[in-house]
Amino acid sequence: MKKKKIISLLLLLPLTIWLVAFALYPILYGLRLSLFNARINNIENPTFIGLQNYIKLFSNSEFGQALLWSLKFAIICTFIQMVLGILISWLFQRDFPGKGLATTLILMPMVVAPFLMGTMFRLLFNESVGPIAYLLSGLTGTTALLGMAWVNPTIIGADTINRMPFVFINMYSAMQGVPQELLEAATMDGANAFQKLIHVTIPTISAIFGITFLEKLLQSFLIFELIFAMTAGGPGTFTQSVSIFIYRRAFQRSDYGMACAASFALALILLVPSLYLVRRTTKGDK
Amino acid sequence: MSRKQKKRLSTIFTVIAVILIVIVLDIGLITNVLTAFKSPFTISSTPPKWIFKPTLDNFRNVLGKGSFDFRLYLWNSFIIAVISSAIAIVLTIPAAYSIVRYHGVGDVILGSTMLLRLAPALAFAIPVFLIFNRFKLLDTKIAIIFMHTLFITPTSLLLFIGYIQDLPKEIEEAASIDGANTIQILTRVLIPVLLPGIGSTAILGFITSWNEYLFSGILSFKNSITATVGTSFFITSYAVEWGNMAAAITLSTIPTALFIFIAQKSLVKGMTAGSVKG
Repeated sequence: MKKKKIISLLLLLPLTIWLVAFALYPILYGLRLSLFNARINNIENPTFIGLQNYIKLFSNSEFGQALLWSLKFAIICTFIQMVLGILISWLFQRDFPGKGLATTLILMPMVVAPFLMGTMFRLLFNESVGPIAYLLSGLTGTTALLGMAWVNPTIIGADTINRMPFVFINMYSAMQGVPQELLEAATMDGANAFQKLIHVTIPTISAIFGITFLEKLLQSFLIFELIFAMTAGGPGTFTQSVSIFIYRRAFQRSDYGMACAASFALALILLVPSLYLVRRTTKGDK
Repeated sequence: MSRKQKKRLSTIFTVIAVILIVIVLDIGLITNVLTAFKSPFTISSTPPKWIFKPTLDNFRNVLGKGSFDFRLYLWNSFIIAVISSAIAIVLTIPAAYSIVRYHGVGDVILGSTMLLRLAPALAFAIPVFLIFNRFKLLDTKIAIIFMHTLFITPTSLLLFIGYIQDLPKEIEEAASIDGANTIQILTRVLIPVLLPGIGSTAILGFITSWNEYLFSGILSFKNSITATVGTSFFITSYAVEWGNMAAAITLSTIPTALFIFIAQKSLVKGMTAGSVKG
């Protein structure tokens, strides 16, 4: 029995080494750095300043604004994408010609890198040459879709194109598992298609619904690459998500201590929902 | 209205709705490909031209020896993606086997890997940048490979746990009665039956690495730049080379877009692995 235990540990060893070297060690190093005034010129010999970075961070309204922007963005995006994802997967419960191809085309934006998506939209929404901006100007009255007035809806739209397919495919797979008898019974009782969705399908898939919702919320809250490519947080700090805030602190202002403090504050805020999600998702594995 | 007519109407309605959805979701990608074939003159015309004489100039510029070596970036992306997903597979198969068959410490590792998947990437990015700087590893492919491997492991581990759970325990028991040790069971019994799973995990790892921007971006400045990072170089302080940029984006999306056509089933399984069981 002892030998078995040793073998089980040896099998885990390679992955554990990787996790320790490239995840745990950097995290601890960053945690330590968050207590120092560490900038590009004194990175070899930073000065210890205790909790100063954290105090500065929370007395600086920019961090609060970034958190608030991310929170609003996450809630709006998650809501829109969950609703669209569920409606589209519901549409896909019936058969129609070309269903296979349509599924592939819907999933397509999901495999494109968010950064590439963002760069692409930066071109397509460009005020003077963007073809999509031109098409939409009939609705918006302007081609300046990345200007103050329209930038938030534009980013939400771009993220929806990029990430909604993830909700769709999760919901679609889940709906495949809803027992046919339940739906038939509801039809017998005179329920229409929409009533069946609300009263039968959604309650049956509620577990996966909850997991997808929470995962989507966390993902949107941390959004970085898409916005970084589209607006880099601008105009000014107008679309500065919390990840963009940290990136700017670290790699544009080289204020590493402060940036580390911000990323740990962020990680702490997200720890409880993340742990909950991990427990929910790994429980099914045993 | 007869039942048949009603059904037909509902199908027509569904098809129209689906076409509209597909157009909205893919119009960006399509327009971008069109832009890649436009000359600078066509790009700057208002209203935008949808029918024009296509040119390959942008692709020639991007792939030729211009100011940026985009061919090198594509090659870097490819090498980094292949090696990262290969290492991730080697790390996670034994770990998954241990988690499924023995439990204990394995569950802690599984939990940490899952937590890693949700953690803010920037919390790693800053210390990793400074650590690799100290070890003189900045602007090397190996630095990016280390980090990409790390971010591939959660999905890879989840997938292998699923595959190994589905295998009948009897095969291993038979082998162990025949005197095979754990290493032999893994390499001779498990790996052969896992091959299809290894294939789809490899594709998913490849895509994760190919699409990654944050770490590829901060850890490289000349030699190890990847295609995803390189597309942004066409925006300079003087001008934006829209056509070249669109061509570069098109080239960088081809590998991942191909996978969704040829390996959709396994991709979907991998991408939903975190949330959908089964």
